[in-house]
Amino acid sequence: MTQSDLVRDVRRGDEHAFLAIYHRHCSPVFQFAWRLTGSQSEAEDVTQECFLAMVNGAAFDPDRGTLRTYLFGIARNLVLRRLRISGREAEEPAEAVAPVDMLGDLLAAERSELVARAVASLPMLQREAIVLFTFEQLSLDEIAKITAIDAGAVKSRLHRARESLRAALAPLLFRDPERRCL
Amino acid sequence: MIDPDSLDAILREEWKAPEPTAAFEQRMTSAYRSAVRPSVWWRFWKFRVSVPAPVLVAAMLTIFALFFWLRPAAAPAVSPDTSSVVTRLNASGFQPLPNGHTRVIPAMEIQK
Repeated sequence: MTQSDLVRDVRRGDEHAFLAIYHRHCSPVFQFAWRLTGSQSEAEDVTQECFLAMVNGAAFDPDRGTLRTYLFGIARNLVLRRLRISGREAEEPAEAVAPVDMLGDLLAAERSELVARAVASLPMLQREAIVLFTFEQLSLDEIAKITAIDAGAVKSRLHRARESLRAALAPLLFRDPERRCL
Repeated sequence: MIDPDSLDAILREEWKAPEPTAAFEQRMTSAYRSAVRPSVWWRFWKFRVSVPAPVLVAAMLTIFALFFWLRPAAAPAVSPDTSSVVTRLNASGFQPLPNGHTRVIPAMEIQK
C-alpha cells in the first residue's frame, strides 16, 4: 500500500491507517515542533493539529514530495502561525544573533542547555533550516519543498545558521579536545 | 576553522529532543475519531460482525438445508420413442387401385 493510499484511507476514516502513519511519523514531527517552539505542550499541540490537518486540510500529493515532507510542511506552518500570534518571532530579525556569555554559561549551565540556547537564539527561518538539515537529515531539496523556497535560499540560510552557531559555540568546540579541528 | 561535522555532532549530541508523553497517542486517537466523519458506505464496508463458530456452522447448515428443500423438483427425463418411426413420403400423384386388389406384374412384362 502506497503512502497516497494510506492517506486516502485516513481521510475516509480508517483508524488503522491513521495509526500506521502516526506511529511512523509522530516522533519526528513532534521533535521538529519541539525544537522550533522549545515547549513540550506546544509541540504536542502542533503535532496534533498537524495530523488532523492531514485529515481535513490540503490533500497529500506524492508528486510534490514524500509524506514526511508534507507533514513537516504542515507542522512548520503551524509553528510559524503560533509564533506570529504570540508575537514572539516571525520573520528573520535584522539584528544578529544575541551574544552568549560563553564563560558564564559554561560555568553555570550544562552543555546541552548551552547548545539549546545557541540554536534557540537563531532567527526562526535559520533555526528551522538547521533543525531540518542536521537533526531530521533532510536534503536541501526536501527542505526547499517544506519551506517553499528554492534550494539556494536554503543553502544560504544554513550557511548563516552555521556561522552563527560556530561563533556562539566556538569555545565549546575548541574546549573539547576530541572535536578540536584547528 | 571548525569542521562542520563536529558542529553537527555537537548539536545532535547535546540537544536531544524528548518524546511525546505516553498519553499523547490516546489524545491523538480521540481527536482523530471526533474529527473524521466516514461516509455511510465506508462505515458499511468496514462493518464487522463477530460470530461464534458453532453459530456460524449451524447457520450455514440451515441455509444449505433450506436451499435443497425449497428448490423445485427436477422434471423426469423423457426417453425418445423409437417404437413408431414416421417417414415422410411424397405422395403426390398417388392413386389407389379402384378395386383395391393387387396384381403382380413380372419385370419382363413391364419391359414389354
